[in-house]
Amino acid sequence: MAHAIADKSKLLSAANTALPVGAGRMASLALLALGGITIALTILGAVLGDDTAKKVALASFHVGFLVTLGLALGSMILVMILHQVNAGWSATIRRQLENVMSMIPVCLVFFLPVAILAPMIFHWMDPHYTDGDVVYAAKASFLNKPFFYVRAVIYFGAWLYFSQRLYRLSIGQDSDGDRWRSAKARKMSSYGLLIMALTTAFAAFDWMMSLDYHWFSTMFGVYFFAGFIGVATSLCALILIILRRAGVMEGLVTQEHLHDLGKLMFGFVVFWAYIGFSQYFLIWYGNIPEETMWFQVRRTDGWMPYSVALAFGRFVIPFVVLMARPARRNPMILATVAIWLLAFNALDLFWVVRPTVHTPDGHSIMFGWLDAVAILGPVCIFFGLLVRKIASNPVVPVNDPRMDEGIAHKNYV
Amino acid sequence: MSTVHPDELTSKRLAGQEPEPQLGAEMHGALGDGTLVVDPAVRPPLVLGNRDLHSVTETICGWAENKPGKWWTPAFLTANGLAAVGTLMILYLITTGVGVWGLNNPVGWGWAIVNFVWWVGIGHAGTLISAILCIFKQKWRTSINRFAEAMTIFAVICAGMFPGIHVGRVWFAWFMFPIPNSNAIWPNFRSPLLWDVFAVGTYFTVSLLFWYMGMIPDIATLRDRAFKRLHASSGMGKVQVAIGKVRAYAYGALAMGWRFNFRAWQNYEKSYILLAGIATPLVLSVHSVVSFDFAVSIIPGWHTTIFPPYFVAGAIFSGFAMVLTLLIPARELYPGMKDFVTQRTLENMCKIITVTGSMVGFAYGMEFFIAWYSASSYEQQAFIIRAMGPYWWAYFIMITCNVISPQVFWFKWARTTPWFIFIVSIVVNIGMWFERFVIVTTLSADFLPSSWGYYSPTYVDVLTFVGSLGVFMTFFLLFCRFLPMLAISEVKNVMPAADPHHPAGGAH
Repeated sequence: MAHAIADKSKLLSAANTALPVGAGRMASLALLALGGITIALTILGAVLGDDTAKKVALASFHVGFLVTLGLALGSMILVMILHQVNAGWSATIRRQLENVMSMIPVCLVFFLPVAILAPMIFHWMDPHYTDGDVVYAAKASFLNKPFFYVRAVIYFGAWLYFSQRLYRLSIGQDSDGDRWRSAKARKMSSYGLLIMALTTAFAAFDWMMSLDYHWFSTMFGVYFFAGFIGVATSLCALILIILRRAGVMEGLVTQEHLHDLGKLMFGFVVFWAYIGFSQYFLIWYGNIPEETMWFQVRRTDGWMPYSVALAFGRFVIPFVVLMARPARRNPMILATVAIWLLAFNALDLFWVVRPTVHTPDGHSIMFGWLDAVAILGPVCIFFGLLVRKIASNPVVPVNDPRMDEGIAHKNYV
Repeated sequence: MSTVHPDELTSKRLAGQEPEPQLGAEMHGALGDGTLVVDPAVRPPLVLGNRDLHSVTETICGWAENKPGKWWTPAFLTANGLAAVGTLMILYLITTGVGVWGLNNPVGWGWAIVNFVWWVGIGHAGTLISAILCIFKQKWRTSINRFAEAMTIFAVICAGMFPGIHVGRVWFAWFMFPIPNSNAIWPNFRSPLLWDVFAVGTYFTVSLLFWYMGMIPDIATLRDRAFKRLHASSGMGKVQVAIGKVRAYAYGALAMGWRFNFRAWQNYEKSYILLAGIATPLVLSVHSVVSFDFAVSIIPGWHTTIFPPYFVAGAIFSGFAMVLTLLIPARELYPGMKDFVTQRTLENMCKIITVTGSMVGFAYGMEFFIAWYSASSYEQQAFIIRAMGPYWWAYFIMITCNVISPQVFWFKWARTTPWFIFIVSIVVNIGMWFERFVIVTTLSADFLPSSWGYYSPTYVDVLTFVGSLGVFMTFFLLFCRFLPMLAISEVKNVMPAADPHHPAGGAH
């Protein structure tokens, strides 16, 4: 017994749980610089370009914002679920999810330009489109500018509150070792999940579904929930693999934890596909024009290859790869799949948002350099700041009451 | 912040830092039977009563070996009687035609489909507990999984009955299967009703295999004990010996020659996790396909994309309620069962009920919101009629029972008081039946106001449903009487005695 305790204190020593001073600074600076350059290029492209280029830049910047938001929200939902189900194994991995979750304020900053310039891509805000539109008139009491902004304030208010409270509870435990903080976090997570379900669903309606404001689907909120939580799991696995290579977390995060994260990635890949397929399938089978129009755009006008790529890249390929046990236990393969899924999540959001932008005569505009820089901008800055965040705290919640279980975690079957 | 908490002392005791208390001294309300610890540093015990491995076998096998309590025979006869009534109703239906039901035009689907969906849904909790909770390594599931899986099998049997008798000409029920025939008549492969046949058929097969395979070692235990009793049978009457022989050989046949050797266990563990993996997608797929029955149509109120996950959540919701409805009385009636099915187990199940009930509530909300947001007057009208039309009372019952009633489990008292959980579980069962009723009666007001009608069941509808409850209970009581109700080997696996590193463990 004494032996085990000595081991534990060694595992949780500063050398194993804290990154050296200045670690990751170069990576962070490089990412921030890349983010700065791409944002500058986006602005340049938008200012010098015509009206359509401006719309393209904003829509793709919106995609970039949604990518970062999805990572943060997905991580927060996962943290809440892990608290709720009292998951002992997650003690050593949870801090990385918390780091991502605490980046919500950064997402808020990215949202500001979208919110200010919204009428450019949210056609329902533009009287040019809505004049005499009876369908819009029927939903105008929900889709109107003041209420749109009020809702955004409510969503961000809730997200900021929960992310910062949960983050502080965890960080505070590092210093005072009070295990009742975990009980508090657990309690918060219960009603927190309820609020998260509603806010993410309506945020998806507001910021994605309303881009095509005639179209509607009850599943839309769940679709994003499913995608976000999966991609948050992937990012968590990726961060842990990188940290392990940096020489910390020895014996804290092992192959066993990666294996379980791989299982969760697999599970969420399937869940995303299940939700996505159900949504597509029911609309396809019903074949009612007011519903099929959304998919019709994405099946024609050059968007079809994107749809096919999404089905294969976001489901079939990771499904097959992650099915194999050795793949889930191999850090290199798992990291590759994680990066792959992060990229295809971006494609998913691009596929949802960007086909709503047309040339003045109604033609689609395919992916171009402006899209690339506009998406990369917020994403690079997000990751640059995330690296700093990771380096600023112990890489595991050192005083978590479940730490023993987390360290001892094994997959026997 | 202060670290003093009511169950501080208990946590220390359970962690072995304080001496064990005298029995009864510690049992204050906040901790119930001792498993309701909230200290995040402490895992409550899974099996109570300081049991060793042998006493687990004795207790669980005892339920199947000893005479059941006085309640069993009357309960069994009642269930049998109800099943008989149901059978008579089905005979009446077959000899007369579906006109004996209350179906009309436009409500061509009545209680039969409501009952079908209700029963299939109930089955889902068993698969969730045995497969998904197994994959999530939830050890508390071991005391309820066998019980819940048995419920799954019997619920699916009851479910399968209804489409079978709904086809009108029952002697053509085999048309549901794509069997080559001389008229080259095939079922419509584009119809979700056919997918249902496959989905439910697969589900039943996999569930049965999973249940049975998991039970083999425990049946072998019963077999060995039955033979042992037979050998020690001096003084038994001839009839008793004959019964004993039948028992021993029946268990022997069912145990498929299981010997408790290492290699068999290794294969068993491997196949168990594989079957769990195969059963997991079934939890989602079966009820998704059932939801397609409604959602692929273009009926307002039915054609909505959230139906698949919403049906799955509802299925798990009602299934957990049914498990609790059966488990709480069983816990009282079978001596020693409370040591395995602890208050913590009940509390966990209540939490799942609240989660899934809230998911269902979320889906109701989304349906309503999107019906309004769609700006489609037909969608809107369908929901207005649902909530305020002639069936407002059914909608009201549905919302009260499914969305509001599970919220009581936010309070600790509610989710740890067995009699109260029992009442809520029945309320939820009723609510979920009405959910399907609300969905089906959407048909009563379709596109043509001239054909709107009101659907009410006849006594045949009602008694057939009651009969299905009788069939279910008959099977269930037989299961409780003759088979190992709890997974003996799995329960032993999660006890400290099975852990070689534990002071009470195997490697002394």
